[in-house]
Amino acid sequence: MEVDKGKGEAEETRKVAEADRDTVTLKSSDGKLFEVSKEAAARLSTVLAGMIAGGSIDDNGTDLKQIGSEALENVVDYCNKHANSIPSAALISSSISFNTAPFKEPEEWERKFVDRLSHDALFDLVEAANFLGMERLLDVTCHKISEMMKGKSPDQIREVFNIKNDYTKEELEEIRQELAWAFYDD
Amino acid sequence: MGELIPGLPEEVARECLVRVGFDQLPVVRRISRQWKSEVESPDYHRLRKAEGLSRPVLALAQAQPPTSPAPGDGAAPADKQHSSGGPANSYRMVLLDPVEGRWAPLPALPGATSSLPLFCQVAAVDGGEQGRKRLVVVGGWDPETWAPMDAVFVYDFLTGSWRRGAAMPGPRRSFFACAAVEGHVYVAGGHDEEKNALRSAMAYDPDADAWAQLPDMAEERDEPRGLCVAGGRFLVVGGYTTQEQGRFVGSAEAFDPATNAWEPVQEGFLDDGVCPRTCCVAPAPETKTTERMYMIRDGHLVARDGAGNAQWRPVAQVPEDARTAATVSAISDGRVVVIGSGCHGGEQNVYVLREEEDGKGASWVRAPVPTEFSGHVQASCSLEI
Repeated sequence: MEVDKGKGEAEETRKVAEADRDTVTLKSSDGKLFEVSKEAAARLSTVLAGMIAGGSIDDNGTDLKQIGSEALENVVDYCNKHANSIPSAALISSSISFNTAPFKEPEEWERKFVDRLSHDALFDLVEAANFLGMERLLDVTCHKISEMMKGKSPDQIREVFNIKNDYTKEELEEIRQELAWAFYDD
Repeated sequence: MGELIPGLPEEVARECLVRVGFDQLPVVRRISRQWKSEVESPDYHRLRKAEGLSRPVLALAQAQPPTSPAPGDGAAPADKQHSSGGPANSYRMVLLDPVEGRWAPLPALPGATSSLPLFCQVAAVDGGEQGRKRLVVVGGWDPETWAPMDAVFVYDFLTGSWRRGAAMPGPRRSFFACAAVEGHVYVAGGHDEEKNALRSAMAYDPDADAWAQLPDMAEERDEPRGLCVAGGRFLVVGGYTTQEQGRFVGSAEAFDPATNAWEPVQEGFLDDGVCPRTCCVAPAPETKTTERMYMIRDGHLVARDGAGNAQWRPVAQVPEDARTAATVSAISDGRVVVIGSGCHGGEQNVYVLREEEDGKGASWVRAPVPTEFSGHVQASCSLEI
């Protein structure tokens, strides 16, 4: 939930006080404030869990100077959605999959959550998840980035990720040779 | 050196790259020098494994569905007379993730027929400095002429391509034992072109692309089963001699690469007369000196724990429509995968069973099988990728 700074100090103070017990307020690099459930933040982010446990949470907005407002809004949004989806997610995974692998495929809502993001927003969110130690969100966002390579040619992948082809002609030929079927007629 | 993925911290970019599917690796490798060295590094494979991203899969040599399906005309039983080179005799390599129920065909073998040899064997090798995963297809019959072949085909998951390996030396052998043991593919027994049961054995090294002759087994073994067992040994189970056509013995013998010798024949491994075709070994930690084996006997999955004269115990009845089992494979976490049909030539069904530690509550879960992947499975091996 975003707290609009323009709404006057009285209301903001009231909100902060009211939320004192079960939410934390986070402040983006560009000064915007976001509230997130303390429980979800502590469960999903090792960094926020550490700050909450260590008492270094600022009621007027804990400074997260490395994270822009768009990325932080997505982080908070993810935490809220995650909190809402827990019961059904647990139910589904125990009934159909064996649920033993450490990595679980993104849930439907997690897919939708990352699919709607622009390239830049996705990259910013990955960085934020990494910075905040949000293992699951990192999982889901990295998975999305790896999926962006699916069905693409090397040239298309280089374009999507802005990667320079640093192979020499000879090296490319070598790789091509490997792919040329090494077959001879008997 | 630039960034692995511009705009992302190195460790995050690495997390993205370990998540690409195995079928993406060949393309990823062509992006840049940095990406190539990343996916070829031993750390890359360790990280995949550590994060549970590598999955247990089965590689299956499976009959390809006819291009224009005729009603009731499935995969023709291979022991029937060959018709006119129809598509029913075309086999391709397919990967199955039995837990997630995912199927993926591998690229076809290049060449005119593009079919895998009939009755070929397949083994998965995890050898080499870089831990490169490869599938090695050995022997079988020419799909057109049905002549026994000495051909070896190697599929490399990193390059995503097949290459031809050094041909299997010695007599053209059919129905031999075959298994991958610590980076090598071992072959033993079977029969030659005069239907003489064989005692000879050899090993293929895919890194060197070379075969080495091994000492002979104590017994002739036609149609034996080859397994990789504890201590990095190659176990050859059952089979029959030239004299005893089709009458299987219950003995087994193991080759130990460390001593380059066959261990004494172990009698009564199976009951005499039992075909060892469905025998398989469950994956176990390297430190373990014994292992669990499974096979199908009289419509039941049975298991055997430990070495020596351990007994087979019943685990569960196999579902009716998989009773004619083509393959049994034990994968990680105590799961057993049975691929079979209700009758010979029927559509294949896939069942996964998880045996609980307390021996209770073993039940089958049916995995979905798209029509495209319902053809007869004639050889399989399990691997993690």
